[in-house]
Amino acid sequence: MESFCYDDGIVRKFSLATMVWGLVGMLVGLLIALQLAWPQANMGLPWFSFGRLRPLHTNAVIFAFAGNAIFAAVYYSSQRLLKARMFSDALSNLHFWGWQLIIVAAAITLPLGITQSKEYAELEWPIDLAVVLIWVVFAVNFFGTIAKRRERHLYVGIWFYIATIIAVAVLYLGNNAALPVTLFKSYSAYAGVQDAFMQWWYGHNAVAFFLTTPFLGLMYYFLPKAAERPVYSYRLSILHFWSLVFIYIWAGPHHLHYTSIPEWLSTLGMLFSLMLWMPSWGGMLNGLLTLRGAWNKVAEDPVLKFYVVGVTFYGMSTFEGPMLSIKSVNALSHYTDWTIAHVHAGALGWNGFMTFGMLYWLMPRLFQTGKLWSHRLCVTHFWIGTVGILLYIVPIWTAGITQGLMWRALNENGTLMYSDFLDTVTKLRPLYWARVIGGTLYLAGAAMAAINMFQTWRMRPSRYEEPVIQAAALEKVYTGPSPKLSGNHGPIGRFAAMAWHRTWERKPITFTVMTTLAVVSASMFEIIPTFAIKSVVEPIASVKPYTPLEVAGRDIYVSEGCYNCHSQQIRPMRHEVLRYGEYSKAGEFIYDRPFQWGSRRIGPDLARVGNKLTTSWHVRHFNRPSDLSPGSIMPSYPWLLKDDLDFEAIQGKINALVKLGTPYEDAVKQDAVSVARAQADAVNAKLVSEAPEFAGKGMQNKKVIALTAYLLRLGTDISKDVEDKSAQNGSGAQEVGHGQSL
Amino acid sequence: MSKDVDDPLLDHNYDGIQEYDNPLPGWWKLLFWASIVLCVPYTIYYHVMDGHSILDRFELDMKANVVSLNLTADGATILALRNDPEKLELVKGKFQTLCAACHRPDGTGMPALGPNLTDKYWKNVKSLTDIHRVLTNGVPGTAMVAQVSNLNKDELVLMSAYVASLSLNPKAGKEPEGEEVPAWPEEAQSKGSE
Repeated sequence: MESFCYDDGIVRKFSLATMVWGLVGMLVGLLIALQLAWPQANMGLPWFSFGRLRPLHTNAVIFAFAGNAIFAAVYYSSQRLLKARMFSDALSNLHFWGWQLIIVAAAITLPLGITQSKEYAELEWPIDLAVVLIWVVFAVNFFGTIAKRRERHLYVGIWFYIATIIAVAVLYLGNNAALPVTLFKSYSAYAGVQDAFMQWWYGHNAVAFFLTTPFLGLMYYFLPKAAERPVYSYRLSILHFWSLVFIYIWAGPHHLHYTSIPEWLSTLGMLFSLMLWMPSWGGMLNGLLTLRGAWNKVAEDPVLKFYVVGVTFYGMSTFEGPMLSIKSVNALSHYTDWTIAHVHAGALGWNGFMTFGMLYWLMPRLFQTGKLWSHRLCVTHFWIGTVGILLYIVPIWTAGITQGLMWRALNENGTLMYSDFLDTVTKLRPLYWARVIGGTLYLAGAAMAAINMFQTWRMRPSRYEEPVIQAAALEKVYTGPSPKLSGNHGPIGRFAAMAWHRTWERKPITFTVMTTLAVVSASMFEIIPTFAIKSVVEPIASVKPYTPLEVAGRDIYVSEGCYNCHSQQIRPMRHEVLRYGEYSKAGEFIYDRPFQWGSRRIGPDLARVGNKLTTSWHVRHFNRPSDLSPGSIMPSYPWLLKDDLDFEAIQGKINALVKLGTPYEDAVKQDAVSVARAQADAVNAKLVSEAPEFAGKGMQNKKVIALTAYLLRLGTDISKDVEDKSAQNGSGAQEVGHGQSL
Repeated sequence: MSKDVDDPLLDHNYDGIQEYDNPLPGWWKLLFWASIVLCVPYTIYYHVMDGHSILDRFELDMKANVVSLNLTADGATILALRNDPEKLELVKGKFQTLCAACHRPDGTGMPALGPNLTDKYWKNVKSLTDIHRVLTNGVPGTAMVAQVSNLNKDELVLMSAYVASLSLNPKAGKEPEGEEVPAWPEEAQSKGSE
C-alpha cells in the first residue's frame, strides 16, 4: 500500500479563476450586446468598439471561463479517477499561472486591435506560442499522472480528457500557422479558400474539443458523483466516445455552405454533421438516464438541477447544430443571429450550467465547510440563470429568422422587398434590447455564484485537512481478470461485447494513439484534397495582389475587427446577387491572408463594395456612420481620420507576403513605401476634389486613406476580367455575370 | 426502482462511480444507422446525378428572373419610361442599394454628397440622355460613381428614367445645386413630333 494525498490547492485556484474570468467574460458580452442595441455605447473609443471587444468576449468566455473550468474539473477528477496526485505540483502551478498570464495578454492585446482575425484564434503569434507551451505543460502533467496511476483501467471521463488534449493541440497548431511580420503582426500561412477551410476545421472543433469533450468528461465524473448513481451504460460510453471523436472533425465545412469552397467539401460537412447527432445524444442519454431513480434528488439538490438543464441544453443544441448544417436550412440561418442563438444555447446552457453545477458541488468540498454558504442563493441562481438563457435565446432566434426572411423576401416583379439593408437591422433592435435583459439576468446569476463562493470560502477551516489516501501501486504486468463472455459468440458477437475495449482502457499509450489516429485521419480526408486538388481554386487572370497601401488598409480592417459584422462572401442565391452583385469566386481570394469572409452580417456584405461607393463617402462614414445612414448601429471610427498610418511598416509586410508567394513586381518589392505614398496622394487628391473641406488636412498620411483604398478595391478585379473579355469578344460587359438581373 | 434489478452492473469502480452496461436504445441505433445510410442517396442525388448542384439550381433560379427588355438608351425611351411606374418598380430597390447612400432613400440629397434629385436643378445633366451618361460613367473628380458594373444595360436605362421621375414630385431637401433645367429637351422634341 502506498500513501498519498490529492492536490486540491490547484483545484481551488482554477475554480477561483473560473469564477473571476467568468464574470469578466460575461460582462464584456453584456457590453457588446448593449452596443448592438445602443451604438452610443461604443463611446467613439478605439479599444472600446464592438469589433475589438467581441473577440475579447468570445476568447474570455471560451478560454478563460470554460478553460479554467475544464482545468478545475480535470485536476479534481483525474487525481481521484487515477488514484494519484498530479504528476508534478510545479507543472500544475506553471500551468495555472501560465494560463492566467495568457488570458491577461489576450485581454490587453485584443482591445488594442492586435489580432489574427480568425474566430477564436485571434491571439497573435507570440501568445499562440505561449498557449502551445502551456498546453504541453498540461499534457505532460496529465499523462505523467496517468503513468503513475494506481487504477488499472481508464474511466470514460479520462478518455474524454485525452481526446481534448490531443485534438486541441492538433487543431491549434494547424490553424495558427502564420509568418510573423513584427512582434504583433503575422500573416496566415494559408490564403482564401484554404484559410477559410482551416479556420472552420479549427473553429468547429474548438466547439468539439474545448466545449464538448472536456465537459462530457466533467459530466461523467461530477454527475454520477452528485447523483450517487451508477452511469447508465458503459457500452454507450464507448460507442458515443469513438463516434464523436471521429465524426466531429469532418463537420467544419458546414460553416462555409454556399461559399466559394467546393461543393463536395460542403456536402461532407453536412453529412457528417447529421451523423454527429446520435453520438452527441449518446452523451446526453448517458447523463440524463444516470439520473433514473434519482429524480427525487433533483428536486432537492440545486447541483443536479444545473446538470439536468445543462445536459438538456446539450441535447437541444446538438440537435439544432445538425439541423443548421443542412444546406437549405443554413441558406436561411447563415450570417444571421440564429447562429448566435444556437451558440448561446450551448454556451449558457451546457457549458455555463455544467460549470456552475460543478463549482457548487466543489465549494463545500474544496473549502471543507461541509455545506454551501447559502442553499437558497444557489437555487435562486439556478432559476434566474434559466430565465436569463431563455430571454437571451428566444429573441435572438426570432431576430435571426426575421432577418434571414427579410433578406430573401422578393416582390412579385422579382426585386428585393427590403432593398435597404438598414431596414433589416432596425427591425431587430427591440430584440437586441430583450437580449440585454436576458444577459443581465444570467450575469446576475453568475454574480450570486461568486458571492456564494466567497462566503463559503470565508467559512473555511484555519488549515485545510489533507486526507491521506492509501492504494496499492499497479503491478508491472496486468494479471487481473479479463471480461468473460458467457455463452457462444461469433466474431461479431465478441466485437460487439467490447471486451477489446477493456484491454485498451488499461493501455493508455494505445488508447492515446488510437484517439490521435481518429482525429488526424479524419482531418486528413478533408485537408489533403482541399490543398491538393487544383480545381478547388480556379484562377482568375484579372485578380491581382493588393497594392502596398491596400495591404496596410486591409490590416486596419483586420485590426478593427470589421469581419465581426461584415462578410466578404456573396452566396450564389438570387436575393444575394440582387443585393450585392455577382457571387464570390474562389479565385478572387488567393491573396487574402487571412481570409475575411466573416460569419455574421450585422452590417451588409462588402465583397463587392469597391464599385459602389466613393472616397469621400467612406471617409465621412467612418467619422460618424449615422451622419450618412440614419439609424445605423455601426460604431464611429473618428480615430481613423486622426491617426497617422505607419508607412514605414509597409515594406516589412510586403516582404512577408512575398515570402508567402505573393507575386509582387520589382518596383513594389524594392520600395513599397514610395508606391504606397504615391497611391495615398492619389486617393487624397480624389478625396479633396470630391470634398474640398479635406484640402490641406494632410489626409494622405491618415489611416482612413489606406482603409478606403482597400475598400475601393474590394471585389472589383473580377469586373476587370469581364471588361477584358468583352473587349476581346466585342460583346457588352453586362451580358456576363449573374449580378445582372432583369 | 424495480427495473434497476435488471440493470447489469459491471464490476467497475472509479472513486466510487459504478457503471451499468445497459443496451443501447433501439431508436438511437436506428437513427444513427439512418444518418449513415442517408449519405449514399444524398451523394448520388446531389453529386452524381446532373442538375442538382448549388450552381445548377442557382442558374435555374436566375433564368426565371432574367427578362431582357432590350431597352435603348435614347431620350424618347427614357421619357416614356418615366411615366411607367410598373417598369420603374424594377429598379426602385436598386436605387436603395446603390444610390440611397449618397442621395438618400427618397432622393432628396445629402449634405456634401449627392444632390437633391427631386428638384429641377442638375449639376452635370442637361438632357435625359445625360442622366444615362452620368449613371454609366460617373463624373470623374466628383463623388458620383460609375454604375456600369453595378447595373446592366436595361437597368441603366430604367434607372435613368427612375431618376428623371423623381423630379416630377419635387420634395424639400438639399438646397439646389447646378443649373435649372425647367424642361427636358426630349420633351420638346416629342411634343414637336406630335
